[in-house]
Amino acid sequence: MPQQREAYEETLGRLRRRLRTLYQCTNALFQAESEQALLRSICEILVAGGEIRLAWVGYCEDDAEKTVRPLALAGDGVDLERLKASWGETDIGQGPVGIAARTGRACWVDDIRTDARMAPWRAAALARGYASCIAIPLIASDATRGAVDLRGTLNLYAAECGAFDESAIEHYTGLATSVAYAVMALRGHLAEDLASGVTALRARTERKRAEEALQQAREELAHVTRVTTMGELAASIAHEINQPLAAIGADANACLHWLAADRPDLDSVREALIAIVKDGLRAGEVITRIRTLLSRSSVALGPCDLTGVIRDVLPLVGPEIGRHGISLEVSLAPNLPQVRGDRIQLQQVLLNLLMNAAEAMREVPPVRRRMVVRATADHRDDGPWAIVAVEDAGVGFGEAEAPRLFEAFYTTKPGGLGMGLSISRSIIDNHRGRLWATANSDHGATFQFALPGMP
Amino acid sequence: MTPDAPVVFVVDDDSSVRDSLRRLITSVGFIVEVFPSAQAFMRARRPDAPGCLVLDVRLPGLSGLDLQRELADTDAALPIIFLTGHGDIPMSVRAMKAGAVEFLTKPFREQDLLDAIRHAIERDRALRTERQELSELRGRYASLTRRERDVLARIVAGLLNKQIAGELGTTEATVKEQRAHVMAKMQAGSVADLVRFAARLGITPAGSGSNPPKVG
Repeated sequence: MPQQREAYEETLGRLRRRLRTLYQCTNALFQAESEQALLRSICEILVAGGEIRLAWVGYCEDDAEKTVRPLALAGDGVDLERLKASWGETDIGQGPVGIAARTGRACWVDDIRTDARMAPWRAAALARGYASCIAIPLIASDATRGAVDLRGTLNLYAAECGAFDESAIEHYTGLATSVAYAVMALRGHLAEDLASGVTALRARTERKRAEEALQQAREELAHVTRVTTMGELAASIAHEINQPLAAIGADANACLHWLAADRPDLDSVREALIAIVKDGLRAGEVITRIRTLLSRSSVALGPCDLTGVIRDVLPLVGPEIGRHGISLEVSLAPNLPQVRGDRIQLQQVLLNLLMNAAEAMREVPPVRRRMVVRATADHRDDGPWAIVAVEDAGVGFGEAEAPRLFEAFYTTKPGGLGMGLSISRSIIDNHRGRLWATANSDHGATFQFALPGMP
Repeated sequence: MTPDAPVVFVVDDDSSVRDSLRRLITSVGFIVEVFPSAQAFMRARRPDAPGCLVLDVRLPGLSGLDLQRELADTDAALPIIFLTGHGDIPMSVRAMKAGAVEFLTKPFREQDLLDAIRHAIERDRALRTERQELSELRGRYASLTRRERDVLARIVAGLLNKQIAGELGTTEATVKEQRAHVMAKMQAGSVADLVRFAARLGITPAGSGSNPPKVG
């Protein structure tokens, strides 16, 4: 019985090798990152297993020659380019590769020396020491579409005759099914990945477009709010232009009177003319400020001096503040750091804070109507900051109101739109700064914004 | 300058406007005094001369209308020309009702302002004359004795000496003597003069048991 035992041991050894090969192939199936890499790994594993001398995978092409195009190969001495096979009805389509591809069933040759189907390749195969071979179809089709997604063959060559017995055929056919499945899964993933990539890209584009639209809407809203505010200020602004115009008219007439005299008072004429020039400039400046604030220019960040911003806004809103019987105190620190910002937007924020403060004091007794505009520098760990605070002695806000102050459409004013503070905050946020409100200990509230100074 | 030379007061918080008004009004020959606020104007000692006030409606602190009200309460009221930066109709109505001479919107026509100033000064001159006469009359009336005032009230009521004597419980001769004192002290040439004076002083004619007259 030792012979029988030898035979069993041989079978056991073969099964163990196949099991190891299968295990390695399964790993490869899960780990493969691309179709090409997967096919190459499978071929290499099979050849490394010892039973197979040459393994290659070919895909069936739909060209005129019905070429089976080799994709992956493992084994000594054979070039991928030199493998010639077809799945057509020609001579070279009559080999195991062509048959397996056409029929969808495995096709094997037990003895290459004698099998007629191997005639075109016999010499080359024998020269390389191959005795038997098998071609196993790699086929995957989509039942719902009725289309073949994958048609190819896994081709194996062994050194012994009759190497591909029933158990071997079963073994390799099972493997080929797994490979075909893995290829399809890989393609599916790729498609899925591609689809999700496209979706992500589209989402990003759309988000960007939405952000741009939002930014544009925000700018337009800011512009509308500025125009509205300027409308509220119209009477004050008209006054502010009429003042220098009235002065110019009076001075010009004074000059005419003096010049009409027998001995004109030229000193007085000169004094009046100097005043006329000054008042002309003053009226022009007011108009320039208004035109700037009303312009629909897009945001332009640049070095910005907050003292200048305050000085731009006060002449526009000052008369309005005075009209409400409010005394205004302005305190500007001399060492205010320059900030990076959009001058018009910062003017708008300040204008808004000043108008709100004036509004808050409408109902309070006249003696209490006092407003302070304060600009200070704060030296923090991350560098200098500029802070502008508008302090009023108005009605203030309650604890319940505090969280809502900066919400859009939240307003306590009868005719208010509720956009002012919301826009102001988004402007300051865009400047990498902070806008906040605190209730004063006695009366009213303080609204202030802090902006990082330029390095 | 003669003490009677008119003075134009300008109150405006805007220095450009204030100075230009000073130059304009000076250029036509008036004396001008300028003030930056109503309070500064109220604090200043004003010359005893006819004048007028050119006043900006919108002033910080005491407004133009407030100043108008305060001035009206004193016996040194001045005709006021209001200037305003914008045509505020309710405000101008209030100002005119309170006796403003003119309400001009900036920028104003120079001629309108100068005409208004001249008109206001004329009005102040007349007012001052009237005020002076009144204060003289008050002085004369103050020099009367109590009994003479009682007699005066009854003369202007048209009572005869006999009736007055009856009412005051005295003789006709005494009343006649007191009547002569009244006419002399009040510097009245006739009963008609005395009636006019009494009307200006706001004295109610008295008679037939009515209350003693009061000075208005």
